[in-house]
This record gives sequence, C-alpha cells and structure tokens, in this order.
Amino acid sequence: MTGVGLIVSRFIGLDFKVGCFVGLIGVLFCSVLGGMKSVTWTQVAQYIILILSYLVPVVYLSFRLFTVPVPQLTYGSLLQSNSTKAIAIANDPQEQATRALWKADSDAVAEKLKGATGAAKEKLTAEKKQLDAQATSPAKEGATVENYLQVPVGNKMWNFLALTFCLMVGTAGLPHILTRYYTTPSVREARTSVGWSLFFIFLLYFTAPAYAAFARNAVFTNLVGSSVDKLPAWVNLWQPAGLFTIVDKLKDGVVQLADFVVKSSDFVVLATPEIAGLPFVITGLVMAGGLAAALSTADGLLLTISNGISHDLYYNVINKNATLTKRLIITKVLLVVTALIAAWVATARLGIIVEMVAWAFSLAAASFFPVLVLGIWWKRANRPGAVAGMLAGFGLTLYYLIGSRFFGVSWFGTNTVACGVFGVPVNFLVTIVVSLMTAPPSQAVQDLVTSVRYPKSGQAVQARVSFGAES
Amino acid sequence: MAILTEDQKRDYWRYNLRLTVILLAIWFVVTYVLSGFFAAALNKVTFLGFPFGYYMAAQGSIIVFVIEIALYAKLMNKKDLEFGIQE
Repeated sequence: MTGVGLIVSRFIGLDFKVGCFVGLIGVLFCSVLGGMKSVTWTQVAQYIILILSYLVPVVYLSFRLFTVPVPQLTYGSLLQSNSTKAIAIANDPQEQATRALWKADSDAVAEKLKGATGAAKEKLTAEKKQLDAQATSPAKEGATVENYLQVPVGNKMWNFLALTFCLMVGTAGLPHILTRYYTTPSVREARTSVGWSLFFIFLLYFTAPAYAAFARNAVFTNLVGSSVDKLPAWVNLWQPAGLFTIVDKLKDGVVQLADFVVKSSDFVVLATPEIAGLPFVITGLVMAGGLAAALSTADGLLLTISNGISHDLYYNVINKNATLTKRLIITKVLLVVTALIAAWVATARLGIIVEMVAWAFSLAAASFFPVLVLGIWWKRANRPGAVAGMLAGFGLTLYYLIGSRFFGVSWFGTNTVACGVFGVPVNFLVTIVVSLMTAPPSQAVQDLVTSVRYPKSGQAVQARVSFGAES
Repeated sequence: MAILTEDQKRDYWRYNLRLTVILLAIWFVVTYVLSGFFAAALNKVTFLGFPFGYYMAAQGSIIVFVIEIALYAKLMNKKDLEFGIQE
C-alpha cells in the first residue's frame, strides 16, 4: 500500500495519504467484484505492463553502450568496468577528503549517541548509519574488486546463506502464493502452471541485477566528476523527488561519489529511463508497471486473508451451518475492512514496513513450511504434532526476531532478517516428536494423504473442499 | 480413469520421490555450494564477462531452478500418461 501511495502521489501530484486511499479504491475494484480467478486474469494484464516497462529502459541502455540489446548478458563486462572505476574512485584524493569529512560528522553523532536514550537514540542511530554509508569507500584498501563483488566471509557468509534459506523456504510457505495454484483445474496443469509462472518471474529477476549495474555505471561515468552547477539532466529531474541529494561536502564545486547521498534506492528503477535519455513517457510506463505490481500483490493478499478468515475460521470453527451466501458476504466485508486497515497503516509511513516484509518470509518459513511438507510426505503426522510444531516454530522465530531487533539477543551472530533459520528445524523436530507421542491420525486421514499422491483418485474433489469460499 | 494397483501406486510414488530428491540435490549444490561456499574460488573464472561465482548467484542459479521445475513438470506429466492417470 505504501508503494501504491507513493506512486499515485508522485504521478498525479496528490498528497501521499490521499494517494494511499486512491490506491485502495483500485485494489478493491479489482478484488471485490470477482474472486481469485478474476484477480489472476487482471494480474496477467498487469504483468504484461510491468515486464514491458521494466525491460524497455535497460534494453535500450544495453544497446547504446554495447550495441547488444540483451542487458542480462552485457552487464558482465559492465561489472568489470564499474569495479575498475570504483577502485580508482576509492583512491582519488578529493574523494578521500570528502569521506573524511563524513567520517568526522559520524564521529560527532557517535559522541552525542553515548548519552541518548529512547526516541532520540533511534534517530541518532539512523543518522549515524546514513553518515557511515557516505564515509564508506566503494572498494577496500588494496582490494582488486569493488565491495559489490566481494564474496562475504565468515559471519557474513553465514548470514547470506541463512537469509537465502529463509526467503526460499518462506516463499514455499506463503499462503497467498500457494492458494494461487488452486485456480488450476488439474494436477497436470498445476505443474505446468508452476513452470510457466516461475519462468515469468525469472524474466524479472534475471534483469534486476543488470538494472543496478547500469544505474551504477551512470553514477560513475556521468555524475561523479561533473560540476555541481552543471549536473546531468536526470539528476536535476529526480533530485526534487527526495530519493537522493547531492551535497558538495568539500565545497570544491565538483561532485564526488561520497557527495551522492542515496535516501531510497527506488531511484534506480524510477530514474533509469531518464538516465538512458528516454522520454518521460517511459518513466510513466515504469510507474504504471510498479503500480500494477503493487496492486496485484495487494489483491492476492487481501483475497487470501479474507477467504482464510471467512472459510477456515468462521465457517469451520464458529458457524458450521453458515450458508454459502452468508459466507460470501462475510468474505467481501472482511476484504474491505482489511484493505482499509492496510491503507490506514500505510499512511502512517512507518520505516519498519520494509523490514516487516522480510520478517513475514521468516515467519511463514518457520510456521507453515515444515508442517506442509510433513503433512504431505509423512503419513504419521497428526493434528497435535502440526499445531505444536507451528506454535514452536512461530514462537521461536518471533522470540529471536524481537530479541535480536530490539534487545540485542544474538545466536551465531545471525541478523534479524534471517530469524527463521532456527524456527524451521525446530518446527520439524517438534512436529515429529509430538506426532509420535500422540495417537496416529485416523485411517480416513491417512487415506486422504495417500490419495493426494496420485492424480485423479478423488483428490481433485478433496482439494476443492478446502477452498469452498472461493466459488 | 485407470484404477492403479498397489504395486503401480508404489512405483509411481517412488519415481516421484527419486525425481524430487535428485532435483533438490541439484538445488542444494547450486545454491549453497556454487553460489555460497565456493563463490570466491569460482570468481577467479570469468564467464561471459562475469566472475563465475557472482554469475551463479545472480543468474545461473535462477536459470537452473527454472529448468529443474520445467523438467519435473515434463517428467511427471509423462509418467501420468504412462500409468494412464492423466486428467
């Protein structure tokens, strides 16, 4: 919702808060009128806009620099030249002087930080982080490659692997993604559908690093070293948006890399068309693409939440005799309520939202993934085991999340974003142990688990039942 | 619809398990061994202008994953036909 609000406000010039609610209307329009199937079709249209707007600028840049319109291939040599430039910049005396000034500022803040508490401490910490980023050299002393190409070692490598683990396993446990595959009519089509959907996602992620390399190249080649009163056109166009600023720290009238203060890396995607010298129309396309992406994600999430509550909680737990109409009405009402809450939270513009997205992956990984896997692959798994496992995995992850984020808990130096790495194995373990300690599931349940293994043995009917609220 | 005998069911499930295990093994090697532990060593090799370790993490692994998924879908769908249980 924050993304939607940001784009709507920048595009139409509305206030950010109003932007959030304009976005809300769009989301509701797409999801209230239909169900999962219609949302899926809207998303097909949204994807086409998204991928086109995403590819056009970077393909054009690649063509201009290398005469090969495949940025995914050409950015390899760009990495090399970026790296060489970064090392040169790291050793430039003017640049070093600028960095020293930032370092001095950072030290001053560190001094103030000593006596600070509460909100003032949070604010100063954030300030110091920004100053430290400016004082960081793009390449370490004596290194042969720039920081971006350094392979992490030791604790950093552990965190890298732990985070990739949480993201991968978390994705496999995200409810709003799993429910997508219910819209396919058969197992066969579900398999094919997974294949195609991942191919289309792949197109996007395949290109993302190239984007960064081309933007970095533009910063190195046409921003660094330019005169402060004659900045490149794209800088002048985007500076008012507040995503980055140029501060002539050394007051020498020349832009150093350390003078370039990035406030939000969103500028990479938004400003690339203009860096490439493409007309504003393309920027509009990119924004539309971003809007499409945000809207479709929100649609899917809302449907999953409202269907989940209405079907699994209301129908299965609270009122077993509810009619289909009643359940449908509850779903739609919940949808509107959830969307309103989402928009309201977004207007608060909490900085923590981006972090929370990463937490969601860890929590999903630690609470859903092990139970889903065991539920399918291990017939002995039962209800108490699954409940205990989910509670243990979720609880432990939440404990580490809050502990490491706010109270300085640290196990093996693991970062908060990778907090799920402990919850996943614990969930597996607890589910197995508790299942073995309690009675095996009934024959009917075991037969169901067996039937899921083969296409067309009553399985299709079973799967539909659990998603009845949708139809 | 063809009704499967117990033997057929076991064969079918075993085939599925074996395929899954092999694909997961490839996933592990590509993700943790090539893009993780040995990335520094692989970076000494240049591939299409990229340091190879970096390439595997940024693009290579994703390509392998997509191929794996396509392969699974294709092989399992073929198996369904073989057993006469396609939908």
